[in-house]
Amino acid sequence: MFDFRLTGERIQDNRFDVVIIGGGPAGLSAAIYAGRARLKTLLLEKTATGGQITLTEYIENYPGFEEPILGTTLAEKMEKQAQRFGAKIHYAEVTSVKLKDDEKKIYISDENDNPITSRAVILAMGASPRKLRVSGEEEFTGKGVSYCGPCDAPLFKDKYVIVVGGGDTAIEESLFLTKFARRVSVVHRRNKLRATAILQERAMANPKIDFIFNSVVREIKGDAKVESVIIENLKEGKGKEVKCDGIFIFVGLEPETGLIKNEVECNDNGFVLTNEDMETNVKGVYAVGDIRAKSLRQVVTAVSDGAIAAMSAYKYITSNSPR
Amino acid sequence: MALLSKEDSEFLKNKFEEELVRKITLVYFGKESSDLVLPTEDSTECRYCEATHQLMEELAGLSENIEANAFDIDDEEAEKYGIRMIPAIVPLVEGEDKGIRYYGIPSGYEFGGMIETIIQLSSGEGSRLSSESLDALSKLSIPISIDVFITPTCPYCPTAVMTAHRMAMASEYVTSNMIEANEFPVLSTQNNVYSVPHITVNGRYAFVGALPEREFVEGVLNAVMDTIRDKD
Repeated sequence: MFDFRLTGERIQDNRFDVVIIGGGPAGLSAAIYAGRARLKTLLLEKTATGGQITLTEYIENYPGFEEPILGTTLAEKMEKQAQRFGAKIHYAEVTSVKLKDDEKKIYISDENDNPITSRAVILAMGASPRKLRVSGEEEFTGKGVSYCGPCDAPLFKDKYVIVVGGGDTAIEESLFLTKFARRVSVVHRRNKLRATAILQERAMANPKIDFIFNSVVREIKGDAKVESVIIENLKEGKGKEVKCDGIFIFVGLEPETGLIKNEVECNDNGFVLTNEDMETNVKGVYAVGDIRAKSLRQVVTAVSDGAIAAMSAYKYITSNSPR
Repeated sequence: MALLSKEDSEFLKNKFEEELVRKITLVYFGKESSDLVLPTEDSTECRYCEATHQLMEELAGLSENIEANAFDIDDEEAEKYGIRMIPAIVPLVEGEDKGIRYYGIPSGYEFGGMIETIIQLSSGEGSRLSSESLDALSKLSIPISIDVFITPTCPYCPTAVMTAHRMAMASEYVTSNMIEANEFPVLSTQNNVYSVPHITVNGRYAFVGALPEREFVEGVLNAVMDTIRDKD
């Protein structure tokens, strides 16, 4: 019935072979591989390890777990596995980085003056939910507008909520919301969902979920909190006001590149460009997981990126060893 | 049956052995039987009292430096610590109250946060807040009570709780309360909690989100700035 999660450790020393920024599956996988290569490895995470898999309830498509595994449990297992191979995991927010020199510098929130130094850096900061960019969204964020299903779904017991989006996340979270909410309406701009077929089947079969296709949310209205949304049918070009208690927005991702925009090369959408060895345009700097320009963003592709980056970093460090 | 797995208990036992320095007392407040109407602001039964009490006893069993003390909500000790709802936990360090409160069971992500709080309190290293934050807090001249509403499934929430707790460690004017929103639905509704972490100060809305330390401290102080000025 209860789940009890444990967290990180403090760092004693601030020189490392590899520093991994971000503790989602890509970062944790890099930590496992770097630890096994006996590199002195530090992983920095600002909130909780697992990244976006902690924002979903179950992972069903990660090979080897024939029964669905809780995202939080999978994250915990990866974290312990990384620690078993000697990687240090420290909870702190990275405030700035200097990556272009041979000695990379990483500044964290709780040690302002002394940077952590490292010979290689693996960027694994992931991505965060994209905003809808409609009137009322910002005003009512935290007042009925939410981007986090597991965080906020329990606060909508017996309520009516709107979900925006038609991808895997939107449908998974709609299913999770039905545990609490009395009704969930999924608003999607196309005439069919983009989510994986098995998720679609489940959502279609769930009596608490209905769909509003070919439609977008144009405005979020309320007083102290969300009270209604304006939904426009794109075919008819007509908008109508729908009363609701909350709106959950799952319309894609934006890369978390605030720290590194001026350090490494990114594409037009802001995702970091790498080659197949996960190298960025800066020597000794690698990018893995959702922050990287790629076509499939899944746990299984994230952990693959992590392994490749760790081994690339290992080759880079051993071939450029000053020792 | 034990709440903590054998593996986690073993891990914590070693961690406590390595890191605990000063004695921690976990003062628990609850109600043994559920057939009475309780003097709380919220629900009339305490669904998680038994589990919370058991969790405190299990933690105490893992280290000589942790003890658990249980009291009924009607006991005068509850008044001494200003306990308003149950289950509640007040961690003391060498018997000293640092103004830290847990309302509701610290499960899920909050459990790790509570362990970190215990270790930090016991280490005697102080709040670990930045000098800017300490400066800002030193200007306080009235008591402030920070409520951080959370859900156990929220991965961002422990960061917010920890920052509020550190403010309590740093200033005797600050009380920091973790409130599990599901267990206190009436209070959560009164405070318009629709996203977590949701932070109020002296009952006033401050902000939503696990902000970085500087913004967090600023947000908390801004929420009560006018009342602080009034008292000057």
